[in-house]
Amino acid sequence: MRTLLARFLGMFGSSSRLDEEIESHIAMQAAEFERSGMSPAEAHERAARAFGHATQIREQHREQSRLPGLDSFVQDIRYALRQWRANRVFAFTAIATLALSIGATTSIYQLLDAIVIRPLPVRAPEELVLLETTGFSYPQFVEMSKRSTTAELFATGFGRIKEFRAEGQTLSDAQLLYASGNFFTGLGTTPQVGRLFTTRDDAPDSLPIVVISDAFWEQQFQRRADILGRAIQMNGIEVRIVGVTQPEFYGDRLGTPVDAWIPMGKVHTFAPSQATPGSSWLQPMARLRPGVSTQRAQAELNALWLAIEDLGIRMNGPRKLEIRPGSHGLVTMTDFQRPLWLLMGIVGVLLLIGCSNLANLLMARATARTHEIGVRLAIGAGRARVIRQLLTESMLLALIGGAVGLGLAAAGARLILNLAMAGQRWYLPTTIDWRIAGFTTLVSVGAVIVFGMVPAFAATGIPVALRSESRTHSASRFRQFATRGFVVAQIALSMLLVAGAALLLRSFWNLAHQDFGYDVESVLSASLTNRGDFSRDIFEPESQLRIAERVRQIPGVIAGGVSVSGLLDEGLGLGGMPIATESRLVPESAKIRMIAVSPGYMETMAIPLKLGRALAVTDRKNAPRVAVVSESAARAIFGKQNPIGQRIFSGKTFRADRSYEIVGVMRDIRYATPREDPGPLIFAPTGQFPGFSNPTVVVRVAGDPARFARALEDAAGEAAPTLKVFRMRTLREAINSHARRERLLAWLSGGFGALALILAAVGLYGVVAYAAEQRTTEMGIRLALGATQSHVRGLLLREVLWMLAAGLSIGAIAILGLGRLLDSLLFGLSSHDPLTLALALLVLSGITILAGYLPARRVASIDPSSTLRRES
Amino acid sequence: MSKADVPYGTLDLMVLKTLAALGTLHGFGIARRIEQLAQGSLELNQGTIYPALLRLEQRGWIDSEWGASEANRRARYYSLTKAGRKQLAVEEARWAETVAMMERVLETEA
Repeated sequence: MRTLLARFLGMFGSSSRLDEEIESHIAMQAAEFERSGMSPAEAHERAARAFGHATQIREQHREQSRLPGLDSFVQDIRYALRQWRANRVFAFTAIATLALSIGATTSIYQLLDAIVIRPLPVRAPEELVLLETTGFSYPQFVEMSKRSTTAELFATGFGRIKEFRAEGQTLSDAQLLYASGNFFTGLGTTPQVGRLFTTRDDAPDSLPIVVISDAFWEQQFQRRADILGRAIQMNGIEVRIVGVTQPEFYGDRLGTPVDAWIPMGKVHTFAPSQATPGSSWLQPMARLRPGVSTQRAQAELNALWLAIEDLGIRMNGPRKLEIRPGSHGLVTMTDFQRPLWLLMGIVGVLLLIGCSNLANLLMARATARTHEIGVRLAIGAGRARVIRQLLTESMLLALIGGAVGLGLAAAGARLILNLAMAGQRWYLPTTIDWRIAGFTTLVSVGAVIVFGMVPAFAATGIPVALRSESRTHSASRFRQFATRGFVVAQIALSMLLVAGAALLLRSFWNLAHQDFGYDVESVLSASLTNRGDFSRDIFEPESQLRIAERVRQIPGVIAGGVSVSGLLDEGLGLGGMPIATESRLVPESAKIRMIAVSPGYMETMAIPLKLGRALAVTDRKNAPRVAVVSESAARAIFGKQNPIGQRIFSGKTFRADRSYEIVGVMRDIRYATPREDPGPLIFAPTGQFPGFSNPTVVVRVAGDPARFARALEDAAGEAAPTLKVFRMRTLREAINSHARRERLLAWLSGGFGALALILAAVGLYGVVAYAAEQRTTEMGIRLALGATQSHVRGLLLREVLWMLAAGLSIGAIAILGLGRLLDSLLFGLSSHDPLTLALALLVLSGITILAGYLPARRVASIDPSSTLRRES
Repeated sequence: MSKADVPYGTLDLMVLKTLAALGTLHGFGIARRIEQLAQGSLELNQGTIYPALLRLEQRGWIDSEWGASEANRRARYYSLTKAGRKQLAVEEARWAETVAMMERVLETEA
């Protein structure tokens, strides 16, 4: 133990003890020789010879005097740090390159891990299954769970609580979920504080209670210890908090931040309409009972699902129930899975570029150190020892880069998520745990192998001796080859990323700036609902018309109108409705949508009219019924006939007295989502056609629409005092939220593509500058002998062009091959889009040539005499 | 006959034996003593005893401290420890065994 300690201390101490010993040893021997008659000089020389190879002894002594292995390791680290201090630019570039590429890789991996890889943080998640249907009503769920013998069913559903107050504060955006009594036990999770609820809490006579999430405890109650028993008011009813979930527990819906879970039985109390058989709002999951196979559960549950109809419970939805693996819960982020894998590929390529850049940096530096390494080899350092030193340096780079990268990754993942969620609240378990740290370590070590090995071997492959002076010696041929190989690889990989980014950017642009059929700029929309009480005021046509009338008077507002279910609203029904004329029936499958809009609505949206007239103020409740159809709706209903003056009925059997006369034809517009082709659409006047969902008021303004938010809310409030705005956004924002996947991909791939370009340019610059440096003498001679500067420049640039051509060809082949993977993510263009690819090619070529030209120009403008002197 | 290299592993034994015989001694003294005993039949770089000394010291078989040499020069003096004395006995026995074994092998060969 003592010797171990001594050795350990010895590692950092000096070797002065040995030096002194050697000195006195040789002096004593010399004195002895002198006594035998030699001259002092001869005696000293003989003594030194008798002692032997002092340097070797020192080396051997040092090896021994410290912890074996660790000793030389520490020595190598100290050596590397000394080198870095001497060359800060190198150290900074290397660490920054690594930190950025490892950080990017890790942050994408973190998201991939949270969204795709990691299962629910509950007991035995592999036993969980999803029951795929259109959704259960509460009575259906109760019946199914009672009867099933193969699985334990549990379910959650969003609660429509009108008013939610905690600590005297009204929380408008709190996220509440009804959960069946067995939800927590079925999922298999434990409380952090207090208790979670059980089936007993579902009973009608039990006291109303609630379980809150860790995040809600933190935000609303600052983690107060006396949280249990505190009251929350829901619709004026006191509900007691009985427990808090574990910090990592997020329920059954990834990405959704849940504040509180309420026992499902209480739906009778808080929202009786949701408890009826007709209201499908529950999403069930189940845990298979021990020993039950998926097939058996599937058969039983499907049979039960069909049998329930016999109970007189109304079925709505497909008559088939399918079971899927549920270890990840009710995944709501499926649309991010493919993009994430794509991004993972992108950052992987970025990491490769970063690594080859570093390999080149290290190689160039190793070349600059040829002399030093040659000396070390010459005085007896083994090749393995020198390689180990170089690899230790790479390893140190990787570890520091990895550590910084890990820090960047945590911030990066958050940034990406904020970007992805486009302003929505989100929750994802993105804490850095051993998996993430392990991944980063793995990546870093992999990076060392990629970028450290080749230079280390290349640098030590020099024949011993100090021949490094002859700079273009054949020993460096391998190095030259490797260096150029790295540059070509970088250009090819950058081509891949830049082209991919260009495609994704154009895809986003296509989606967000396509022809919607109406003018999306300068429009602000507010979705309305009722405040607190249950009067249906806001759903009355009169109040809607009043609101439309009032908002038009806001100064700066050009036009205004109201519709039920707003534009680009996810709530707009998926299916169509049947439309009948006197002579024929157009079925639901034609997907015709019919909605009520106020006069002024079409003007606000600037929807062009093709035939006839728009809806007018005179089209009131008791006036003759009229409608405006879109071109495709006209085609679907009337074929080639002129639709003006024809009559349609919303339903299966035509009734003349309740039919609408077509007064106008408008352009097709993308109403529901920007992604879908414009479907057939019919507008009927507010008051003549019932509205099924919340009204939305829109205004077209002069100037920035976001500035009118306050005025719009106030004006609408004046017209209908009970209304509440639950979502205010410009049309542009609405489109962006639909295009969030494309936007995310465009931003990230664009950022990573730019990073790749910078890395490749820096790498190329370094290589050309280095090659130019190496050939300075040659160029000096050429210039001295009368070559022109442009000739010399051309000589150096020719090489750049070769590398560029090789890199671009490989990159182009790769993008043509891999493009198919992108196609399903692209909107409005194919991965082989020639214009986009040509653009990428152009950008890359421009930057590459510039990166090569700058150092070439410098060499060409040198003073020949100075370089000739330098070499002599 | 040309001079032989120091047989592998024997330098430690020689150093221990020297210290056992002469008591406290500095590195130069040990090296000279071994050279004298070898009577010119050993190719010894004097310096090689320093790693050996360090090795023995690390194992706790010898101790060292600074002192003044004959010419009033600072030198490091080495001496055998108790454990070193025991170790010497073990090594001597092992060496004797090895030599006896080698002799038997060579005899049968003859």
